[in-house]
Amino acid sequence: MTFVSFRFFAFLAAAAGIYALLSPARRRPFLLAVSCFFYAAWSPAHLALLLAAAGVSYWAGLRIAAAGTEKKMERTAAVAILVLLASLSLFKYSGRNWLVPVGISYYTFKLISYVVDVYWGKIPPERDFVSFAAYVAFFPQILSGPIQRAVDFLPQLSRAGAASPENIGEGLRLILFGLFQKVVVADSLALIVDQIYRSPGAHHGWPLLFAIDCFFLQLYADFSGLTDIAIGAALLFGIRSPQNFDAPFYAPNLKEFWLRWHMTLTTWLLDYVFTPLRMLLRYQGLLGLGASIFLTMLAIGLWHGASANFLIYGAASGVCLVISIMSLPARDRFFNKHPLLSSLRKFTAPLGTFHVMALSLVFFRSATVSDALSVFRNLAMPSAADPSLTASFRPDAVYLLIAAVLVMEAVHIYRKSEAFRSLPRVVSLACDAALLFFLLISSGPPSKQFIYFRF
Amino acid sequence: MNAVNRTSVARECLFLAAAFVLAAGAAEAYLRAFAPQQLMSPAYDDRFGMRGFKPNARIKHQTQDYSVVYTTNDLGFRGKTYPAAKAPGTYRIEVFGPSAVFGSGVEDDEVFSAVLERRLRAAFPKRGIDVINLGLMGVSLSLDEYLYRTVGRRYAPDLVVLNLLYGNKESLNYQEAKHWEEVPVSRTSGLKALLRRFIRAFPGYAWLCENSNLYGLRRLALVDAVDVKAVDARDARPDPDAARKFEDLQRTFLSTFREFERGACGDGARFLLLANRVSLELFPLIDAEISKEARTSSCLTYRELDLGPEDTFPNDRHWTARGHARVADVLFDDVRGRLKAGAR
Repeated sequence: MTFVSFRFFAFLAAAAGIYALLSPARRRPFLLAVSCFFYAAWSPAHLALLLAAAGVSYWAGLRIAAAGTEKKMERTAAVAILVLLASLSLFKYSGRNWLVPVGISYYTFKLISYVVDVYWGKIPPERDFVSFAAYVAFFPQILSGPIQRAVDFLPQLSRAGAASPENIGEGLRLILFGLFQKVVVADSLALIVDQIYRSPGAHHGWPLLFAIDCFFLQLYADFSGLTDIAIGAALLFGIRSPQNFDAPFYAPNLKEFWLRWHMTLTTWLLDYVFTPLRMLLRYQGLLGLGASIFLTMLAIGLWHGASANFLIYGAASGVCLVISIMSLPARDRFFNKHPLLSSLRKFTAPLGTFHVMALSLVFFRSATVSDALSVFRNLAMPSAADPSLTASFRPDAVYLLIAAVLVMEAVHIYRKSEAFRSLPRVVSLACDAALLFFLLISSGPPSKQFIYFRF
Repeated sequence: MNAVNRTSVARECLFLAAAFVLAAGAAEAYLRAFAPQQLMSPAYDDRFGMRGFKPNARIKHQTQDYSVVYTTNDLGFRGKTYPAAKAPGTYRIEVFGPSAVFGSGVEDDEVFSAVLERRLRAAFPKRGIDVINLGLMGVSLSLDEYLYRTVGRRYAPDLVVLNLLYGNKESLNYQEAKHWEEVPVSRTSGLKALLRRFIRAFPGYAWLCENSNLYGLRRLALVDAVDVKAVDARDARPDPDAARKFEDLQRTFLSTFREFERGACGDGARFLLLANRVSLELFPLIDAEISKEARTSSCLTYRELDLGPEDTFPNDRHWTARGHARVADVLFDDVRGRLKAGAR
């Protein structure tokens, strides 16, 4: 039941409709039941694992709160985290795709943050297992996040209020925009990207650079679309989820980029990996800072999978980020002295950041390390017009795709502003109609699976 | 949810519905102007365990290349209705194959079977000649074989003509590809079948099929996007076992072909295979085996079609009226010679 299937939308409409009609006391068990049903539709055998992981964390939370001594608290937290990490490693890094439970990375991170937050005393333990399990298994977020913290989710759930009309309107529009990003933009870009990455050794120069850039756009549209559908679906149950992207393509440097890209994962890693590491290495000066950043980025790479590609992707991102952060003060000083260059920097810096990220994603997208290396090798070779590439795409389809990318970015930028929220009805109706227009005329192959679904 | 909230939710939904109507209108206009779709009357039927057409139907079919009307007979095939019992002395030809044989894109009297019947009747005015078209859009070889056993045999043909249209290497016959647009209702189940029934029960369904470019574009997605299997480009890498699988595929095809041929020859008919040279070159094993067999067999005849670009429509590659006339020429030459010699 993927987020781009009729079955999912039928299920979502039925679940949200019944949820609105139920009394508040029955909403939480209902939400847990539909979430379990949704998860079981994907992977019935792994539902027990999900509930067991939730049970371990629930037990740990209560035990930490009841423990009289720091040592007992620490021991309980450590045991729970080790169990969760062991289950993640065992299943996710087993090397067998069929063994990987759906959404395990996402719910394990949710559970670890819960146990740590209870241990740190940031939140009290949740005493109602139904609410806690509903938090862990909440179906709009279970497949690919966003990774919402318990401190944010559980109070919303305890109110168990029906979605307000504003929430429903916003949720439906987010779902529409998510579908647009996925079906119109990401899947269309995938046609170009897949054609080139299927035989990367056969392409040289600009077609490769074009595919590298297109993949970054595709990944963004795909993941942002998935997130918007998830956030929109959650809103239909009155749950507001955290933002996962904040116009990352306009980030002037890599540090900014990572604060705007897959934000719920990066803030999670910032809180639970980078900060403890930074504390541990605080006396090592710049070296300690660099090592903390590098190891955090390595963790991001490995979070995607245990392959050499993801390891190199994490390491390359880490090296680039360390260099970017370390050199930022010097660069700022230089540009402060050159006002003309500084104004130019406003345009070139996001472009540079975009391409550094796009190049590191070559390892992410390539099937093997040798494919990725051949992409880099061929990138430096003279370009050759590829007739198979140009023959595959009708000009009107390319124009429509460019228009769709521009519409996507316009919505991303303007929806942050207050003016966007208070758009006149006619304008908002025209925007919805424009997105629907693109959705209706997109005639690509049946939608591909979301890229981040497999993580 | 209180009354005020219900009204607000209803208003939100109403605005989205209005947006949908606007978008649908704009999309229809865009498609008509820039990307006209294939439009066809809904006349599908599931009479032989495969997708066919309703009997005695008039089916409008419009594409970028043509706009024609097909007429079906009592059994839902193209052309006239023939009695099952053959009049004494009548020479009966049956033609099997996919949409090219059905005559996609041409009028009823331009289909090669109709042209051939006219020409043979003119050449042999004293002899009864029937050319029965059992072509169906999207039919595969195994379904043709099944169709012969269940329908074709009843007509006691003297000559069975089979036209093969090979597809890509993966499916051998593209009609067997998974994304076939109109799987008979009886073969679908669950939500998909329910959705199909719902769409078909819609009062404006026939109008949509015949007139709406947007429906023409979206009909696959409306039903077939019910569930999407994970597609990962990493899985699309070359299969090291592809050569063996391709050979197996061709052998399976040959085995079905021989079953069909044995059935027809066993019933006393001659079997004539009409194949396109261009598509045959893709399947060397099939080409070699059938060519070899045709040289020694008294029942099997192998005729190649060498149609040029002017014999097919530019976009959907079906035969034009000129293409059909050329196919009729090939068959006419074969049958005339045989009839003159007193053979089958």
